[in-house]
Amino acid sequence: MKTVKFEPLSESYFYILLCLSKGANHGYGIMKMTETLSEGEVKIGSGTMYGATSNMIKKGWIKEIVSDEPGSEKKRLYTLTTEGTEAFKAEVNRLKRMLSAVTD
Amino acid sequence: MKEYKRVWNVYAAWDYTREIEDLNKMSDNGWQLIKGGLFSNRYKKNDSMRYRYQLDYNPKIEDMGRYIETFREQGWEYVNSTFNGWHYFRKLYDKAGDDYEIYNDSQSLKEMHAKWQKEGIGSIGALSLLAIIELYFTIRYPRIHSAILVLTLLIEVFVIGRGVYVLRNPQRADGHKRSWNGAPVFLLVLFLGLASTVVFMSLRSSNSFNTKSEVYSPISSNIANAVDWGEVKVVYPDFYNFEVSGYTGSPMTFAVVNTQTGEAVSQIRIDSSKAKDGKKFKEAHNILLKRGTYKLYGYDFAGGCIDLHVSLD
Repeated sequence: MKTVKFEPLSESYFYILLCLSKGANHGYGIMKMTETLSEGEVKIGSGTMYGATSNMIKKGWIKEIVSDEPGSEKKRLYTLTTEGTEAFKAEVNRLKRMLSAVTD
Repeated sequence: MKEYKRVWNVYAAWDYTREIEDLNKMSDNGWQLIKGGLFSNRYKKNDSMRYRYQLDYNPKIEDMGRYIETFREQGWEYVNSTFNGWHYFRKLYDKAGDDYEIYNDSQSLKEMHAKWQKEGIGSIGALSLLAIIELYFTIRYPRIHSAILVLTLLIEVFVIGRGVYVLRNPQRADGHKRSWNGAPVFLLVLFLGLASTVVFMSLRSSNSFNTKSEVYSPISSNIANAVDWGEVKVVYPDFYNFEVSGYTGSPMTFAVVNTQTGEAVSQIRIDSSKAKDGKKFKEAHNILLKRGTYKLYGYDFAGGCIDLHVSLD
Protein backbone atom coordinates (compact mmCIF):
# COMPACT_ATOMS: atom_id res chain seq x y z
CA MET A 1 0.00 0.00 0.00
CA LYS A 2 1.40 3.31 -0.97
CA THR A 3 1.18 6.26 1.38
CA VAL A 4 1.49 9.73 -0.05
CA LYS A 5 4.29 11.48 1.78
CA PHE A 6 3.14 14.68 3.36
CA GLU A 7 5.37 17.75 3.23
CA PRO A 8 4.61 21.47 3.02
CA LEU A 9 5.47 22.93 -0.38
CA SER A 10 7.25 26.18 -1.14
CA GLU A 11 5.35 28.74 -3.15
CA SER A 12 7.28 27.92 -6.33
CA TYR A 13 6.49 24.23 -6.04
CA PHE A 14 2.86 24.93 -5.28
CA TYR A 15 2.38 27.15 -8.29
CA ILE A 16 4.20 24.76 -10.62
CA LEU A 17 1.87 21.93 -9.56
CA LEU A 18 -1.13 24.24 -9.75
CA CYS A 19 -0.28 25.28 -13.31
CA LEU A 20 0.34 21.71 -14.40
CA SER A 21 -2.94 20.58 -12.83
CA LYS A 22 -4.58 22.75 -15.47
CA GLY A 23 -2.77 20.94 -18.24
CA ALA A 24 0.67 20.09 -19.57
CA ASN A 25 2.94 23.10 -19.99
CA HIS A 26 6.54 24.16 -20.55
CA GLY A 27 8.71 26.17 -18.16
CA TYR A 28 7.96 29.56 -19.67
CA GLY A 29 4.23 28.90 -19.67
CA ILE A 30 4.37 27.85 -16.04
CA MET A 31 6.33 30.97 -15.15
CA LYS A 32 3.85 33.27 -16.90
CA MET A 33 0.79 31.53 -15.48
CA THR A 34 2.28 31.71 -11.99
CA GLU A 35 2.80 35.45 -12.35
CA THR A 36 -0.82 35.89 -13.37
CA LEU A 37 -2.33 33.59 -10.77
CA SER A 38 -0.26 35.10 -7.97
CA GLU A 39 -1.11 38.63 -9.10
CA GLY A 40 2.53 39.40 -9.79
CA GLU A 41 3.74 38.29 -6.38
CA VAL A 42 5.46 35.05 -7.29
CA LYS A 43 8.12 34.84 -9.97
CA ILE A 44 9.95 31.62 -10.81
CA GLY A 45 13.42 32.26 -12.18
CA SER A 46 15.24 29.75 -14.37
CA GLY A 47 17.46 28.51 -11.57
CA THR A 48 14.50 27.94 -9.29
CA MET A 49 12.53 26.37 -12.15
CA TYR A 50 15.22 23.90 -13.09
CA GLY A 51 15.83 22.94 -9.47
CA ALA A 52 12.15 22.45 -8.78
CA THR A 53 11.37 20.49 -11.93
CA SER A 54 14.43 18.27 -11.43
CA ASN A 55 13.32 17.53 -7.88
CA MET A 56 9.76 16.81 -8.91
CA ILE A 57 10.87 14.53 -11.73
CA LYS A 58 13.00 12.64 -9.21
CA LYS A 59 10.06 12.40 -6.80
CA GLY A 60 7.89 11.10 -9.60
CA TRP A 61 5.41 13.99 -9.39
CA ILE A 62 5.93 15.25 -12.93
CA LYS A 63 7.39 13.91 -16.13
CA GLU A 64 8.54 15.29 -19.43
CA ILE A 65 6.66 14.64 -22.63
CA VAL A 66 7.24 15.85 -26.14
CA SER A 67 4.37 17.76 -27.64
CA ASP A 68 3.10 16.32 -30.86
CA GLU A 69 0.68 19.08 -31.63
CA PRO A 70 0.55 19.61 -35.34
CA GLY A 71 2.31 22.77 -36.45
CA SER A 72 4.27 23.44 -33.27
CA GLU A 73 7.93 22.44 -33.09
CA LYS A 74 8.61 19.41 -30.90
CA LYS A 75 8.40 21.22 -27.58
CA ARG A 76 9.26 19.72 -24.20
CA LEU A 77 6.31 19.79 -21.85
CA TYR A 78 5.91 18.86 -18.22
CA THR A 79 2.87 16.98 -17.06
CA LEU A 80 1.57 15.82 -13.68
CA THR A 81 1.72 12.15 -12.79
CA THR A 82 -0.79 10.43 -10.51
CA GLU A 83 1.54 10.82 -7.56
CA GLY A 84 1.98 14.48 -8.39
CA THR A 85 -1.76 15.00 -8.57
CA GLU A 86 -2.18 13.29 -5.21
CA ALA A 87 0.59 15.36 -3.64
CA PHE A 88 -0.99 18.55 -4.96
CA LYS A 89 -4.46 17.58 -3.72
CA ALA A 90 -3.01 16.80 -0.29
CA GLU A 91 -1.34 20.21 -0.17
CA VAL A 92 -4.51 22.02 -1.25
CA ASN A 93 -6.47 20.23 1.47
CA ARG A 94 -3.79 21.10 4.01
CA LEU A 95 -3.95 24.78 3.09
CA LYS A 96 -7.77 24.77 3.06
CA ARG A 97 -7.77 23.23 6.51
CA MET A 98 -5.37 25.87 7.79
CA LEU A 99 -7.28 28.77 6.26
CA SER A 100 -10.67 27.57 7.47
CA ALA A 101 -9.38 27.88 11.03
CA VAL A 102 -8.71 31.57 10.49
CA THR A 103 -11.65 33.67 11.61
CA ASP A 104 -11.23 37.28 10.75
CA MET B 1 41.69 48.77 -30.40
CA LYS B 2 42.00 45.10 -29.45
CA GLU B 3 39.08 42.89 -30.31
CA TYR B 4 39.66 40.14 -27.73
CA LYS B 5 40.97 40.27 -24.23
CA ARG B 6 41.78 37.72 -21.55
CA VAL B 7 41.57 38.81 -17.93
CA TRP B 8 43.25 36.69 -15.26
CA ASN B 9 41.37 36.50 -12.01
CA VAL B 10 40.24 33.99 -9.48
CA TYR B 11 37.12 33.99 -7.36
CA ALA B 12 36.31 31.93 -4.30
CA ALA B 13 33.24 29.76 -4.84
CA TRP B 14 31.32 31.50 -2.06
CA ASP B 15 32.18 34.85 -3.60
CA TYR B 16 30.62 34.09 -6.98
CA THR B 17 28.41 37.18 -6.83
CA ARG B 18 31.60 39.26 -7.00
CA GLU B 19 32.38 37.66 -10.35
CA ILE B 20 28.85 38.44 -11.56
CA GLU B 21 29.35 42.10 -10.62
CA ASP B 22 32.69 42.20 -12.45
CA LEU B 23 31.16 40.61 -15.58
CA ASN B 24 28.37 43.20 -15.55
CA LYS B 25 30.91 46.01 -15.19
CA MET B 26 32.97 44.66 -18.09
CA SER B 27 29.84 44.52 -20.21
CA ASP B 28 29.05 48.15 -19.40
CA ASN B 29 32.55 48.97 -20.66
CA GLY B 30 31.92 47.16 -23.92
CA TRP B 31 33.65 43.86 -23.12
CA GLN B 32 31.35 40.89 -23.53
CA LEU B 33 32.20 37.53 -22.01
CA ILE B 34 32.72 34.74 -24.52
CA LYS B 35 34.23 32.15 -22.20
CA GLY B 36 34.31 32.03 -18.44
CA GLY B 37 36.86 29.97 -16.57
CA LEU B 38 38.41 29.27 -13.19
CA PHE B 39 41.48 31.45 -13.56
CA SER B 40 40.68 33.68 -16.50
CA ASN B 41 37.78 35.00 -18.52
CA ARG B 42 37.86 35.77 -22.21
CA TYR B 43 36.06 38.81 -23.61
CA LYS B 44 35.19 40.23 -27.00
CA LYS B 45 34.83 43.94 -27.65
CA ASN B 46 31.32 44.96 -28.56
CA ASP B 47 30.13 48.40 -27.53
CA SER B 48 26.67 48.04 -29.01
CA MET B 49 25.46 45.44 -26.48
CA ARG B 50 24.89 45.43 -22.78
CA TYR B 51 24.32 42.26 -20.81
CA ARG B 52 23.58 41.14 -17.33
CA TYR B 53 25.29 37.93 -16.24
CA GLN B 54 24.44 35.06 -13.96
CA LEU B 55 26.40 32.14 -12.57
CA ASP B 56 24.74 28.88 -11.59
CA TYR B 57 26.43 26.06 -9.71
CA ASN B 58 25.18 22.66 -10.79
CA PRO B 59 27.83 19.96 -11.13
CA LYS B 60 25.49 17.07 -11.85
CA ILE B 61 23.29 17.94 -14.77
CA GLU B 62 22.00 14.86 -16.53
CA ASP B 63 19.96 16.59 -19.16
CA MET B 64 21.96 19.54 -20.45
CA GLY B 65 19.38 20.21 -23.14
CA ARG B 66 16.57 20.71 -20.65
CA TYR B 67 18.84 22.80 -18.43
CA ILE B 68 19.83 25.23 -21.17
CA GLU B 69 16.26 25.38 -22.49
CA THR B 70 14.93 26.28 -19.02
CA PHE B 71 17.18 29.32 -19.12
CA ARG B 72 16.79 30.15 -22.78
CA GLU B 73 13.01 30.40 -22.52
CA GLN B 74 13.39 33.20 -19.97
CA GLY B 75 15.86 35.12 -22.10
CA TRP B 76 19.11 33.73 -20.71
CA GLU B 77 21.76 32.96 -23.31
CA TYR B 78 24.08 30.12 -22.35
CA VAL B 79 27.74 31.14 -22.52
CA ASN B 80 29.75 28.13 -21.29
CA SER B 81 30.43 25.80 -18.37
CA THR B 82 33.55 25.19 -16.32
CA PHE B 83 34.73 21.64 -15.76
CA ASN B 84 33.79 21.77 -12.08
CA GLY B 85 30.13 22.67 -12.55
CA TRP B 86 29.74 26.45 -12.86
CA HIS B 87 27.58 27.71 -15.74
CA TYR B 88 27.66 31.19 -17.24
CA PHE B 89 24.52 32.84 -18.61
CA ARG B 90 23.77 36.30 -19.95
CA LYS B 91 20.68 38.32 -20.78
CA LEU B 92 20.37 41.48 -22.80
CA TYR B 93 20.20 44.44 -20.49
CA ASP B 94 17.03 46.44 -20.80
CA LYS B 95 16.96 49.49 -18.54
CA ALA B 96 13.19 49.17 -18.26
CA GLY B 97 14.09 46.65 -15.59
CA ASP B 98 13.54 43.02 -16.27
CA ASP B 99 14.34 40.37 -13.73
CA TYR B 100 18.01 39.47 -13.75
CA GLU B 101 17.88 36.92 -10.98
CA ILE B 102 17.68 33.20 -11.61
CA TYR B 103 16.69 32.27 -8.07
CA ASN B 104 13.63 34.06 -6.76
CA ASP B 105 13.06 32.33 -3.47
CA SER B 106 15.50 31.80 -0.64
CA GLN B 107 14.86 28.08 -0.47
CA SER B 108 15.94 27.32 -4.03
CA LEU B 109 18.92 29.66 -3.67
CA LYS B 110 19.92 27.85 -0.48
CA GLU B 111 19.62 24.55 -2.34
CA MET B 112 22.03 25.80 -5.00
CA HIS B 113 24.47 26.96 -2.32
CA ALA B 114 24.12 23.62 -0.55
CA LYS B 115 25.40 21.88 -3.68
CA TRP B 116 28.69 23.72 -3.38
CA GLN B 117 28.76 23.53 0.40
CA LYS B 118 28.69 19.76 0.13
CA GLU B 119 31.89 19.86 -1.95
CA GLY B 120 33.37 22.40 0.44
CA ILE B 121 32.73 20.20 3.44
CA GLY B 122 34.18 17.23 1.60
CA SER B 123 37.40 19.14 0.95
CA ILE B 124 37.52 20.33 4.54
CA GLY B 125 37.25 16.73 5.69
CA ALA B 126 40.03 15.53 3.42
CA LEU B 127 42.32 18.45 4.25
CA SER B 128 41.68 18.10 7.98
CA LEU B 129 42.60 14.44 7.81
CA LEU B 130 45.83 15.33 6.01
CA ALA B 131 46.54 18.06 8.54
CA ILE B 132 46.03 15.68 11.46
CA ILE B 133 48.30 13.05 9.94
CA GLU B 134 50.98 15.63 9.21
CA LEU B 135 50.56 17.11 12.70
CA TYR B 136 51.25 13.70 14.19
CA PHE B 137 54.47 13.45 12.19
CA THR B 138 55.48 16.98 13.12
CA ILE B 139 55.12 16.18 16.81
CA ARG B 140 56.88 12.84 16.49
CA TYR B 141 59.66 14.12 14.22
CA PRO B 142 59.76 17.91 14.44
CA ARG B 143 60.76 19.30 11.06
CA ILE B 144 60.37 22.78 9.62
CA HIS B 145 58.78 21.58 6.39
CA SER B 146 56.32 19.44 8.32
CA ALA B 147 55.26 22.38 10.46
CA ILE B 148 54.83 24.61 7.39
CA LEU B 149 52.65 21.97 5.72
CA VAL B 150 50.43 21.62 8.79
CA LEU B 151 50.05 25.39 9.02
CA THR B 152 49.21 25.68 5.32
CA LEU B 153 46.60 22.91 5.54
CA LEU B 154 45.02 24.45 8.64
CA ILE B 155 44.79 27.87 6.95
CA GLU B 156 43.07 26.24 3.95
CA VAL B 157 40.63 24.41 6.19
CA PHE B 158 39.80 27.64 7.97
CA VAL B 159 39.28 29.67 4.78
CA ILE B 160 37.08 27.04 3.12
CA GLY B 161 35.19 26.55 6.36
CA ARG B 162 34.54 30.27 6.58
CA GLY B 163 33.39 30.20 2.95
CA VAL B 164 30.89 27.43 3.67
CA TYR B 165 29.61 29.48 6.61
CA VAL B 166 29.44 32.72 4.60
CA LEU B 167 27.30 31.07 1.94
CA ARG B 168 24.62 30.53 4.56
CA ASN B 169 23.60 34.13 4.01
CA PRO B 170 22.45 34.33 0.39
CA GLN B 171 23.79 37.43 -1.30
CA ARG B 172 22.44 39.11 -4.39
CA ALA B 173 24.65 40.55 -7.09
CA ASP B 174 23.37 44.08 -6.86
CA GLY B 175 26.47 46.02 -6.06
CA HIS B 176 26.51 46.50 -2.34
CA LYS B 177 29.86 47.45 -0.86
CA ARG B 178 32.47 44.72 -1.11
CA SER B 179 35.74 44.24 0.61
CA TRP B 180 38.81 43.13 -1.34
CA ASN B 181 38.87 39.81 -3.15
CA GLY B 182 40.58 37.32 -0.87
CA ALA B 183 40.82 34.50 -3.38
CA PRO B 184 44.10 35.51 -5.13
CA VAL B 185 45.74 36.21 -1.76
CA PHE B 186 44.59 32.86 -0.44
CA LEU B 187 45.94 31.07 -3.50
CA LEU B 188 49.24 32.91 -3.15
CA VAL B 189 49.53 31.87 0.49
CA LEU B 190 48.69 28.28 -0.46
CA PHE B 191 51.28 28.28 -3.24
CA LEU B 192 53.96 29.79 -0.98
CA GLY B 193 53.13 27.29 1.75
CA LEU B 194 53.41 24.27 -0.54
CA ALA B 195 56.44 25.67 -2.39
CA SER B 196 58.35 26.40 0.80
CA THR B 197 57.47 22.95 2.14
CA VAL B 198 58.97 21.37 -0.97
CA VAL B 199 62.00 23.68 -0.92
CA PHE B 200 62.75 22.97 2.74
CA MET B 201 62.29 19.26 2.15
CA SER B 202 64.72 19.20 -0.75
CA LEU B 203 67.24 21.46 0.98
CA ARG B 204 67.19 19.24 4.02
CA SER B 205 70.24 17.08 3.97
CA SER B 206 69.83 13.62 2.57
CA ASN B 207 69.34 10.91 5.11
CA SER B 208 72.27 9.06 6.47
CA PHE B 209 71.05 5.55 7.07
CA ASN B 210 73.72 3.06 7.65
CA THR B 211 73.54 -0.55 8.66
CA LYS B 212 76.75 -2.41 9.28
CA SER B 213 77.09 -6.05 10.21
CA GLU B 214 80.77 -6.65 10.85
CA VAL B 215 83.44 -7.66 13.29
CA TYR B 216 85.52 -4.86 14.73
CA SER B 217 88.70 -4.88 16.70
CA PRO B 218 88.72 -2.70 19.79
CA ILE B 219 88.42 1.05 19.28
CA SER B 220 89.77 3.45 21.88
CA SER B 221 87.75 6.20 23.44
CA ASN B 222 89.74 8.69 21.41
CA ILE B 223 87.51 10.06 18.70
CA ALA B 224 90.47 10.45 16.39
CA ASN B 225 90.41 6.67 15.87
CA ALA B 226 86.66 6.37 15.63
CA VAL B 227 84.77 4.48 12.93
CA ASP B 228 83.32 6.92 10.43
CA TRP B 229 79.69 6.06 9.96
CA GLY B 230 78.72 8.86 7.62
CA GLU B 231 78.36 12.58 7.13
CA VAL B 232 75.38 14.92 7.09
CA LYS B 233 75.42 18.49 5.73
CA VAL B 234 72.86 20.75 7.42
CA VAL B 235 71.82 23.78 5.32
CA TYR B 236 69.29 25.34 7.68
CA PRO B 237 68.71 24.76 11.40
CA ASP B 238 66.17 22.05 12.05
CA PHE B 239 65.45 19.09 14.30
CA TYR B 240 67.04 15.77 13.43
CA ASN B 241 66.46 12.31 14.78
CA PHE B 242 69.65 10.58 15.90
CA GLU B 243 69.01 6.88 16.40
CA VAL B 244 71.06 3.78 17.14
CA SER B 245 69.56 0.30 17.20
CA GLY B 246 70.74 -3.29 16.95
CA TYR B 247 73.21 -5.61 18.65
CA THR B 248 76.85 -5.37 19.70
CA GLY B 249 79.24 -7.85 21.25
CA SER B 250 80.18 -5.23 23.80
CA PRO B 251 79.11 -1.64 24.48
CA MET B 252 79.95 1.08 21.96
CA THR B 253 79.48 4.84 21.88
CA PHE B 254 78.14 6.82 18.95
CA ALA B 255 78.37 10.56 18.62
CA VAL B 256 77.18 13.28 16.28
CA VAL B 257 80.07 15.68 15.95
CA ASN B 258 80.09 19.15 14.40
CA THR B 259 83.17 19.04 12.15
CA GLN B 260 83.73 22.82 12.37
CA THR B 261 83.60 23.16 16.14
CA GLY B 262 84.56 19.61 17.06
CA GLU B 263 81.67 19.60 19.52
CA ALA B 264 79.88 16.29 20.14
CA VAL B 265 76.28 17.44 19.86
CA SER B 266 74.79 14.15 21.01
CA GLN B 267 75.94 10.76 22.21
CA ILE B 268 74.37 7.36 22.50
CA ARG B 269 76.07 4.47 24.21
CA ILE B 270 74.69 1.19 22.98
CA ASP B 271 74.78 -1.61 25.47
CA SER B 272 72.96 -4.74 24.28
CA SER B 273 72.98 -6.25 27.73
CA LYS B 274 70.74 -3.39 28.76
CA ALA B 275 68.22 -4.33 26.09
CA LYS B 276 65.24 -6.31 27.33
CA ASP B 277 65.23 -10.05 26.51
CA GLY B 278 64.82 -10.69 22.83
CA LYS B 279 64.31 -7.07 21.95
CA LYS B 280 67.15 -5.26 20.32
CA PHE B 281 68.63 -2.13 21.83
CA LYS B 282 67.24 1.13 20.52
CA GLU B 283 67.81 4.70 21.57
CA ALA B 284 66.94 7.90 19.83
CA HIS B 285 67.62 11.56 20.53
CA ASN B 286 65.86 14.47 18.95
CA ILE B 287 68.49 17.17 18.42
CA LEU B 288 68.48 20.66 16.95
CA LEU B 289 71.33 20.99 14.49
CA LYS B 290 72.61 24.34 13.37
CA ARG B 291 74.01 24.99 9.93
CA GLY B 292 77.19 22.98 9.33
CA THR B 293 78.66 19.57 8.59
CA TYR B 294 78.26 16.71 11.04
CA LYS B 295 79.89 13.32 11.23
CA LEU B 296 78.63 10.13 12.85
CA TYR B 297 81.38 8.44 14.84
CA GLY B 298 81.53 5.10 16.61
CA TYR B 299 84.21 4.52 19.28
CA ASP B 300 85.05 3.25 22.78
CA PHE B 301 84.50 -0.38 21.83
CA ALA B 302 86.01 -3.48 23.41
CA GLY B 303 85.77 -5.40 20.14
CA GLY B 304 83.49 -8.05 18.70
CA CYS B 305 80.57 -8.46 16.33
CA ILE B 306 78.19 -5.66 15.61
CA ASP B 307 74.90 -5.55 13.74
CA LEU B 308 73.83 -1.96 13.97
CA HIS B 309 71.66 0.60 12.33
CA VAL B 310 72.75 4.17 12.96
CA SER B 311 70.87 7.07 11.42
CA LEU B 312 70.67 10.84 11.48
CA ASP B 313 67.64 12.11 9.57
